[in-house]
Amino acid sequence: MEDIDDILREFDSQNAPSNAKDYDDLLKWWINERAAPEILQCQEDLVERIMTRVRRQIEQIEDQTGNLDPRANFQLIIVQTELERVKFLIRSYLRTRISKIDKHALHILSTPSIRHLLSPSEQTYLRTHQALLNELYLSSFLKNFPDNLKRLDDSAGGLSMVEEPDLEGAVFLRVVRDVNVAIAWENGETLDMRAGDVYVIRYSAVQEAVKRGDVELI
Amino acid sequence: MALPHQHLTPQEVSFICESELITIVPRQRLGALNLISIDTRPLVPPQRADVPLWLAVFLRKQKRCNIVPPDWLSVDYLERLVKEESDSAAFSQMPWRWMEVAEILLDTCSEDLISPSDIALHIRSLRELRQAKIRAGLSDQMNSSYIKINNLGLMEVCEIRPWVGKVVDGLRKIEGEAGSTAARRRREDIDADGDEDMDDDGY
Amino acid sequence: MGSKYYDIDAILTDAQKIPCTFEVDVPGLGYLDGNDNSDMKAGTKLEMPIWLAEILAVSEQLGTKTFIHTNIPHALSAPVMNALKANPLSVNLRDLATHYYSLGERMVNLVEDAEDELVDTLSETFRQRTIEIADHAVNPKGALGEGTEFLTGLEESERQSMYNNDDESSAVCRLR
Repeated sequence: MEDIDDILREFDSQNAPSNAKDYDDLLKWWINERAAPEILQCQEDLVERIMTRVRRQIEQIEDQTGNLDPRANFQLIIVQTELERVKFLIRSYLRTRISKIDKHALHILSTPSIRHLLSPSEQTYLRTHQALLNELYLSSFLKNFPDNLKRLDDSAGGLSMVEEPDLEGAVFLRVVRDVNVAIAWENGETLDMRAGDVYVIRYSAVQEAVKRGDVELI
Repeated sequence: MALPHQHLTPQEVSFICESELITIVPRQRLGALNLISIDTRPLVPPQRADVPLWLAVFLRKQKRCNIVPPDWLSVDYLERLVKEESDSAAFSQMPWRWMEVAEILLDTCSEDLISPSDIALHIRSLRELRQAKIRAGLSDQMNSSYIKINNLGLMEVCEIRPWVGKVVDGLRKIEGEAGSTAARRRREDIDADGDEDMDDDGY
Repeated sequence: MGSKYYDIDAILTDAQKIPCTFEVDVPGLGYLDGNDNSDMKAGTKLEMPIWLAEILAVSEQLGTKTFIHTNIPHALSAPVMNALKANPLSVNLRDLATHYYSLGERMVNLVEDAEDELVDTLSETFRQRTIEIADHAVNPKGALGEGTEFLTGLEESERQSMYNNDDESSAVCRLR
């Protein structure tokens, strides 16, 4: 019977450098997504690659369960522990995005450039969820309102009903590469940020720097 | 479905820390593992190996390895840090994840450390000294524009995140775009002193 | 800037009243002042909610006058400002206005002079009180301690901030 070591060593060479990098990348994107007030570009390919490995790992576990060799058993526990950690990371990443989608649903729907940051399944979720909510509001109370008050997205009276992300909120970040950002619009005040510095600053000032990877949110 | 908090919780900070590598001395052999996040080499005692912290802790709990503590987690180094911390108003340079790593190692493998109780004592002193400094130092630096907070560990940042965020946002709302004259003056004073109480080196 | 349409605190802020003076006669509105079936006379002073005062104070009719002109509410008056400048921690903000800072924010847009001073005083007050609140989360002073008077005087956003801080500190402490 083949040793689990042998089976695993077969995979070793095929998967060499990208595993660790993918995981680290997902970790970074998860932290960014948690800290940023707006929704960021969905890392579909990254998540798909990791999901493939997750699926493969689950198969491995199922194959090996029932193997009475205590050594194999021990390794299995390690594999399972790690699996749970990775599943948590993926789930939390997706949940963070969903919570932002829920919060700014109408805004995302009406802004194509933001809509494209969502994965296809997230877009489907958004549409279906909003349709359900509209249905609910209409049937429970909205149908009794006069017609001109039935909208959920009007902006009469200078106040918009559509909730947008607050881009002026403070975020914490660490500087990856030296970068210069504008911190006050009227007087053109700028700030030089050096690699390794940690700042608390309004998100709008560093929005571009975050997307370029010059700074990382923490 | 429970939606996540806006900020990283302390447990999540620990989770992140557990992905970092640490050196262990294996006591039993272990084959190479092909994991999702990393491929580990076979563990052959007594050759040292680097593995993720969560794995090191797991193996340690099973008594299959000993953990090699990082250089800074020693009585001498920490004593020096405590002295530095109490002598100066600035924050001494600490490793990015000093709190979480110290926490986890003291918890799981105190026998691998030399004089763990002294280490625990120093860690606690460092924590208290730095917390006091954070409050005193930040209150002066607080403004609606930006604050530089080098040399804090990630967990410390997470601790201050809610109220610092609140203050900066609150000030922004009150002051509006222009910013109050007092705040501007305060910022100019700080710039003139050259980042008086915060080091601007990296780690 | 995030929309505040559904935000409860924004709605409650809007409902806070400020003193206003009518600049013109308005037929039929006498009932606002308790005089049914008569007209509102220019010069009448009345407390109105901010959402209404804001609109009436800025909308213009033909001519040079606006409908009303807003006055500084007691909560932001000179004696209160002086008390805040002297010792921000000792003033009971909650009694003055539940959503004190939001009130200040709105008034800054409605008054023409002394806004810088208003902004500066509120800023400084906010800074010092928030730091004191953060202190409380880490060093609770106990039920009979000196802190209680301060804590009962917290206005709404300060109170929420305090609960958040408590949660965060206890989360970190639990990790020990």
